[in-house]
Amino acid sequence: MHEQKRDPSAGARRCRHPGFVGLGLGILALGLGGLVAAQAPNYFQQYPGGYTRAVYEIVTEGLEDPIRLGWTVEPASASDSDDRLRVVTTNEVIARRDQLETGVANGVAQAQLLLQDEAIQALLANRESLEPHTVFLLSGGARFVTGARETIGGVPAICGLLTDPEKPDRRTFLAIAEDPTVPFPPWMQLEEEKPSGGRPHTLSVCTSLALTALAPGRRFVEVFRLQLVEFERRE
Amino acid sequence: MNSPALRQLWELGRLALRNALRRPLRSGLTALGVAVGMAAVVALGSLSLGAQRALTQQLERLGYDVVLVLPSAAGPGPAPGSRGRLPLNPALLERVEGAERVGAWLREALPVAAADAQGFLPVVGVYPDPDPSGGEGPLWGGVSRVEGRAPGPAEVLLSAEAARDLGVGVGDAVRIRGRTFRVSGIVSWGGGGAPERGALFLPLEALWALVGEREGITLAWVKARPGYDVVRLEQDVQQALREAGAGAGALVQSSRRIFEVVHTALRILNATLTAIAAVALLVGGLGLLNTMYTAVVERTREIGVLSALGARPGQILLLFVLEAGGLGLLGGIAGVVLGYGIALSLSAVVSRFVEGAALAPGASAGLIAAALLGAVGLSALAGLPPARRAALRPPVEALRYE
Repeated sequence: MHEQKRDPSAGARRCRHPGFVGLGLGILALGLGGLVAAQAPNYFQQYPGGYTRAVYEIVTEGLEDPIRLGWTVEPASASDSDDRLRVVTTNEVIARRDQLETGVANGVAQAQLLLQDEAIQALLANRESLEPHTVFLLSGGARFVTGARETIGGVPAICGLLTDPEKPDRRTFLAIAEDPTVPFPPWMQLEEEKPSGGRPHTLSVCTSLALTALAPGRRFVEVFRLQLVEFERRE
Repeated sequence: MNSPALRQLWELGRLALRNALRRPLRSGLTALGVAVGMAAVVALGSLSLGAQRALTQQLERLGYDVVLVLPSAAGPGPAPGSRGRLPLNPALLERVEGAERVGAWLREALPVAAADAQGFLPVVGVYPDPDPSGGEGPLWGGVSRVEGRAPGPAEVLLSAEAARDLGVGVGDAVRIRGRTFRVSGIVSWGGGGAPERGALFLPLEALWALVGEREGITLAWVKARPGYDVVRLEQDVQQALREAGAGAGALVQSSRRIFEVVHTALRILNATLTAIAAVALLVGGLGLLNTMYTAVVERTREIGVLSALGARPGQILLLFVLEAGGLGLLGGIAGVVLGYGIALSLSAVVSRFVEGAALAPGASAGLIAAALLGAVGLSALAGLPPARRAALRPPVEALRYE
């Protein structure tokens, strides 16, 4: 059992257009609620107890500034016999009013789609079997090529590049933490091949993948990024 | 061409063609309007037909006398470490009254390794033990080739894709979660849409042992005894699950109900597509009506000359109807080609982006004939009012027209 609260007022404190905050954050809360639900079944059943706080940034096409997703889990009471958890998610975004609806919806949809991807689910389910500098086969001929173990937002994770032969014009960079209390992968960066426009490929983390990411004659742009920026854990 | 009526029709046809060719741009644009409308009809019609065929094939593969049991989204939630797993031993379903055969599978992504490759592949535990040679049931329907044999103890059956990716053949060893299995056979599916393409198959109990469970399924199916009502079997299965304490987390559905839902959805889809196509056709028909009215107005003096030379109103009417019908035929042929091309492209896009969807547009001679007849008929019909107006105009008035 757990309680779930969302705190949209956190976003209101930063938004420049309070008139549109309600609608935008309504969509954001609803969408990110779905995002949380997409990850929750495994997460809470494996949750070892104690306090966990994680802050993610979601960068997506159509939004200049990242969406900040806050996640806190702690026991609902100090009693050992009460196994309920208090879960608080907070959402923040600064965006022009014309960007709020589509930009936020796009970011949330991308996150949900990625997290429900069969290959990513298989990687998350087998996180303890991942090793650095190895090629892992996945369903449908997909490949996950791992780089080094690096630290993202204070959490050690194995970095890798996921490619699928059925989607040759897209690739997903992914970092997977062994710690099951980290609610989402510490880093997911979806890129698509485009001849022009967009944010050209760069690696802000997982620089060990620089060689793996080389694609001579091809131009990849970042269309979505989810990145852990803060993580705190107490038993 | 001996019959005077045929000879007259031939001459009027030639005249109509000459008239149409005299204004090639306008005639072309009119035919294009019909072609676009007809392309919408053919594209939507063939896609709908293709979707209907694909769904019917899938449903027939499942069978009309089957009850499916799967984890419910509204249930109490999956067991720790798994998604969508119903805590159930399918042997329980064998005791249900009216059950002739029971099948089930559990699907897990597990670490799999061979001599030169490793990864996390779908491993499917099958109940009763995997045997695709019969080609029956929701899992093995559509199997096109089996190399080797069904797996025995410490053996595994591989899909052709898994064997290729792992670089192994019959008799080779693979490790699943650190335990060694011998490849007993390789199975291939023909066409698209196989439920477990790319997976490894072993007996359900062997998979339970690998994941440290004593029960659990992703899907179970119960085939009704001949003559036993499948809806009654559905109730029997629900009762058995309730008694076993698994009822709350299970969704039980008979194939008959699934067919009813799918067929209702297809009927709604067909009605919607027909309405869209009708609007497109109407727009094409209005374009043709406009062109023919303009032609009648522009050729008023010519009509007057024809009347003065002895052409009967019926012949003038036929001339314009033939011209409209000819444009309709031309637009119809272009529309059929264009529409089928659109349907092929759309189905290729769907097949590429939707996993497991093998949608091929259905081309039927009936659809093509109906599209062409419809194009000619509708065009002739659209040409009729202006043709009638031309035919009934007094020759003197027509000759005076500036």
